[in-house]
Amino acid sequence: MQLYESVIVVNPQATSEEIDSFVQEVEQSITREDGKLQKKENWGKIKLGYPIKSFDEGVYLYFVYQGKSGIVDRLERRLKIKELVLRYLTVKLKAPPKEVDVQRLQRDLPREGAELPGGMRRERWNGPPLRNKEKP
Amino acid sequence: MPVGRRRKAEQLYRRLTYRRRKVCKFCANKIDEIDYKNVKLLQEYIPARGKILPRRISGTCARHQRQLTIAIKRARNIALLPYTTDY
Repeated sequence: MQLYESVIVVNPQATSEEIDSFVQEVEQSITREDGKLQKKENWGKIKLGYPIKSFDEGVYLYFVYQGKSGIVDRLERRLKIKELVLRYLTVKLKAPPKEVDVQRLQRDLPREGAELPGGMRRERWNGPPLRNKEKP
Repeated sequence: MPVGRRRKAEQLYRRLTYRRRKVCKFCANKIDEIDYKNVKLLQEYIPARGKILPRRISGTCARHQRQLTIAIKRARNIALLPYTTDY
């Protein structure tokens, strides 16, 4: 048996019932493969690093489970079909999962002049102008 | 060149080429595994354009830079971090 963790990013406009039923579906597909769910968390809405399907934020769900080798394949096959799902990532865990600090998931926007490791400073972008973010 | 002036020139050279010694932050803070979910930590290694900060600038050791790269790429995959700022 191997420990896995999955992060699934879900459409932010989904209602809480839709998310609940989706979570149940994931749970079922884990238990159906003789997997053991150890942890499930909802991290709430987090701003995305780049737009996906023109959404700027997503609901992050987090699962930790134990299972045999085929379990991830079968779970991901189901996730691919779901339109609710924007992104997913599964990672093998070597050690039991630590508590996830939700505060640290959100990224601050880059500040000018911020101190970087190695005594470097975050400098102004001097290259060609970046494209305007606003949509027409 | 007289001895005194040469010594002064050496001192000046040393002062101008002085660099702060870089230390791997992860070794210093005893962080063994770099987690892709710790975005606050990873974003320190993402300059304005969203690229991965090279080792020669950040001073990270080889082992931790490898882990860092993997963590950043995983975080990008699930949109916790941007691939680029130009979209």
